[in-house]
Amino acid sequence: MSVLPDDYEMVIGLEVHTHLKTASKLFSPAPVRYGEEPNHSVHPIDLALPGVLPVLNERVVELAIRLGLAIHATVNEQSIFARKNYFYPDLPKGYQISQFEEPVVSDGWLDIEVEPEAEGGGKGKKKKGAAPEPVRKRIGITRAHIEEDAGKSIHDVAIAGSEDSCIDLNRAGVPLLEIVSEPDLRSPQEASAYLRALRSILRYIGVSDADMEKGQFRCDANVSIRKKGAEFGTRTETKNLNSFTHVEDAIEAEAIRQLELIEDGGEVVQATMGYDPERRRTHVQRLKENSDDYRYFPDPDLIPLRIPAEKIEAVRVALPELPEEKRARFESEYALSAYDAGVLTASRTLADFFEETVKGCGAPKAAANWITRDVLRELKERECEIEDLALTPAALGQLIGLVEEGRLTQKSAAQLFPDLVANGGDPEAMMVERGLEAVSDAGAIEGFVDEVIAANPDVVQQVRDGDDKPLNFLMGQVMKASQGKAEPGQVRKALAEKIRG
Amino acid sequence: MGQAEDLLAKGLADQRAALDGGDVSASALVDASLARIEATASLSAVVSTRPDAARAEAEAAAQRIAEGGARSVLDGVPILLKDNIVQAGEPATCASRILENFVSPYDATVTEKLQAAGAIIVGRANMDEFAMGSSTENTIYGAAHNPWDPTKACGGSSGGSAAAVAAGLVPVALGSDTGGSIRQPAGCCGVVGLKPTYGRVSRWGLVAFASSLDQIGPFGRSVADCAATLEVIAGYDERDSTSVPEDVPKWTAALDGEVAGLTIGLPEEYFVEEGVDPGVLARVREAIGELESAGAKTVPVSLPHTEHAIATYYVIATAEASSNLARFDGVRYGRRADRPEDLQDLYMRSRSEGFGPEVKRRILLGTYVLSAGYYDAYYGKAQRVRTLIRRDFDRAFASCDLIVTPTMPETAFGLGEKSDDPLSMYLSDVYTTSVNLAGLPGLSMPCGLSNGMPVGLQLIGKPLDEATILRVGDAFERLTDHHSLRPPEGA
Repeated sequence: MSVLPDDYEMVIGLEVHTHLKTASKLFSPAPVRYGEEPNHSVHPIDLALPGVLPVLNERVVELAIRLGLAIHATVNEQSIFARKNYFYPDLPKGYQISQFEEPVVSDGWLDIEVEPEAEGGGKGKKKKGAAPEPVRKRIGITRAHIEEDAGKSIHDVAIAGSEDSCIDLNRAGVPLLEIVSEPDLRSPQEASAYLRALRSILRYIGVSDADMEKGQFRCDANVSIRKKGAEFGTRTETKNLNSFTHVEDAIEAEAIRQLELIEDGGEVVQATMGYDPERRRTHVQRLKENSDDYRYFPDPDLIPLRIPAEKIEAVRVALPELPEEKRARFESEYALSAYDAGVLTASRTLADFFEETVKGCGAPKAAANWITRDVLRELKERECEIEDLALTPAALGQLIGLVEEGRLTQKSAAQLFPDLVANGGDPEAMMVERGLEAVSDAGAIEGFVDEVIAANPDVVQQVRDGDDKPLNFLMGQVMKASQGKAEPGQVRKALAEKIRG
Repeated sequence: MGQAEDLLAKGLADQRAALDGGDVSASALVDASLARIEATASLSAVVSTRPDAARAEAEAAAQRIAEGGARSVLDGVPILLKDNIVQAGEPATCASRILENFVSPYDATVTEKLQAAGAIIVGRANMDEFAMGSSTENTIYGAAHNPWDPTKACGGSSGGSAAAVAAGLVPVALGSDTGGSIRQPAGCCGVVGLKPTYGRVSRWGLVAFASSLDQIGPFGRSVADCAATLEVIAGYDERDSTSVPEDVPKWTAALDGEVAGLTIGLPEEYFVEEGVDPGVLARVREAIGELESAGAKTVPVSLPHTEHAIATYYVIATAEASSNLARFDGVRYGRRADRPEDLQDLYMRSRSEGFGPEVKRRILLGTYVLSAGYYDAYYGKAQRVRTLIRRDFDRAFASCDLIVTPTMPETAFGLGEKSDDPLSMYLSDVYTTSVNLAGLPGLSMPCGLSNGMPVGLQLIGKPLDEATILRVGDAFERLTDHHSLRPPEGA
């Protein structure tokens, strides 16, 4: 399973920075917008003009409470905003307002699922039925704290137009939660499973869109290796990993680097690492002993953040159903397999789509099949989100309903599906318009059956002699004669009656 | 013109009566103020004026007043802001090279409130750079001179505001007080200066020196004028998280001249002979005697941690300042070094060229006390001592209604006298810093002269109890006439 020798293991802890879904910034009324003209979403507070003061966005507190509850953590009655002092051009105040000694959320956990014996790359398609039951693992979350993002420095000559650097402060002051895990992860796969689970929770509870491409969900990985059962080794921190693949690859690369160091008789030193995705290698950016002294101290412009128990209760009551809860409910309420329930609850939009579809057809198992198989295939092919499809859950529900009622064969439904996905529309009207309504009229079906029996006397004789196999061939002939519109159950019944009396 | 100029030297009540009665127009009063500022340029009390805007605003005020619609006691009255309080479209240099060309695009809360009340902001007052100093000598505009004796300093850091009121340029000016920067210059210049309770006045738009200590307050020629001005500028402000969500009392209405039944605490630590001008102690004791004869009682109280106040103050204030002043980096506004070689060079040269020596000293000190390995020994310890100082006052106030002390151990010192000795300069704040550390309201008012220079009497109140110190200060003015002493002409 691991790139390390069997007697070694990785020890991984992740720090995730996630942008919070707020209309305005953490300490200023400037709107949070992505893709805005540089420096168009700024307020005197974001520019750190002389005399300005920060005012906490209350919405952020609510979102922090939501996260705290969703990860089974303590939402602290009091937390303190502190200044982290360092000079950089995209940090207008010369300090970042963060939380240091007293964070808003501490001591939580979330469960991830890991495949007990994933092979090497583990990229092969799952073979259904053969897949081993995934193992659940609990990952501790040390803390989550509120902080503001910095602006962006642009050193690209093409953008800056010269050798000068440009500063865009639109992002300066955007609210973040930094979520720090315990060093409980043991493989790159566990690390990405943790990130996916965390991202899913953040989206479920409306705390963050956590879009990695927009920089809304960024990860730093603390990695060390050790002989199994030994003390923790010296760790390094690889910064700014912005895709799941990068996280996995960087952790693997860093573990290999550390192993090689140790095998060569050297030792790992504490350092901040960078990751080069093209070469798939990590490199030392800065040694710990040269690190900045951030001179943290409580921000005297802000009072301690106090969260009364009633407020936490109010948020708890309004908290949407979490992925775990939803999944358990899908299993019991809709009698779905653990696998289907897991797939359908991977995102809230997908889960909602499923439930809407079920409302339209009353057939949860069929709806689960259509969505996990056909709808997800379309999403993958189109590389889009479910809300981008023209297909509505109401239409899919109707389509499934028609099949369930026997008015549409599975085959005809599959014919209509691509059109519904691409252009939307009313399945029943489309069925009628294209003459796809299933033939369930007994007389008509008998006509097709008689025709086929007459045309295939030898085969019919085989069946009469007790061989069931050719029945399927006859079924196919009847379906063909009906242009796929005959209701298969009725055809089978009519054939059996006619041949065996 | 003569009438307007005479009126300038009087109190707000007289000005209100003359303006409302039509004896003098707001325009004439503002013109007189601008003329006085020009005529006393050698005092270096004022660093910039806005004559056109002020005259236009005065005309509008004159019209309102003529129609009987004066907005407040300050309507049509000229006023000065300390150069660290911002006004939209106006410079705010903090007397620093680094902000020499900075123009604020926004208003401080107090600026908005003054303008809403109709006050006419005629200009900006000199100060120690970023409010760091006790003499208004650390300034790019040249040291401010004391109207009582131009060879003497006028105290600091709000020295320009104090000198302007003392010299009759404006009846009222705003300053800021971090460790005594309103009370000490008020004492030096023989005017009244009030530092309100921390959080009473919004800091939005006050360029920060030490955020947990800074507070804006008024200078005036009487306690009543300070009370009236405080009523205009005080109040909760959602833009300042440290502002106190309390209603603004009608302080002026409580100035009834009564002190009978009040108990004045006299902290033994503030009445030591050593290092104190005997004339100062004598005036302060006489003042206490006056209040006793009017029916106030005195009790000895103890503030045992007083001796640590200066050290505590200079650790906390410099720590906060080192962080607050990090934004002046030459990147977005203010002074930027010419043709920097790289980022490091941009920072180093912009800041080296932009800040004066006292500011640099404090940034270095503050950076040091926050450093890893020293934090607990300095900043952490200072915060604990701050708590002890606050408790000292809590205990003392259990047995008294207010505390009376000298404002400073001496009268105004000579210009240049302490410039080379930062420690002795810091010690001139020995009686004022504790009040900031404890967040209390403090008032300084004249209580006579020593060797021809004004002596300051400090009244310290319980948290949010500006009412008592204003009432006692006003009563003292009724008992004596120290507040009507004016600097000798010819300043």
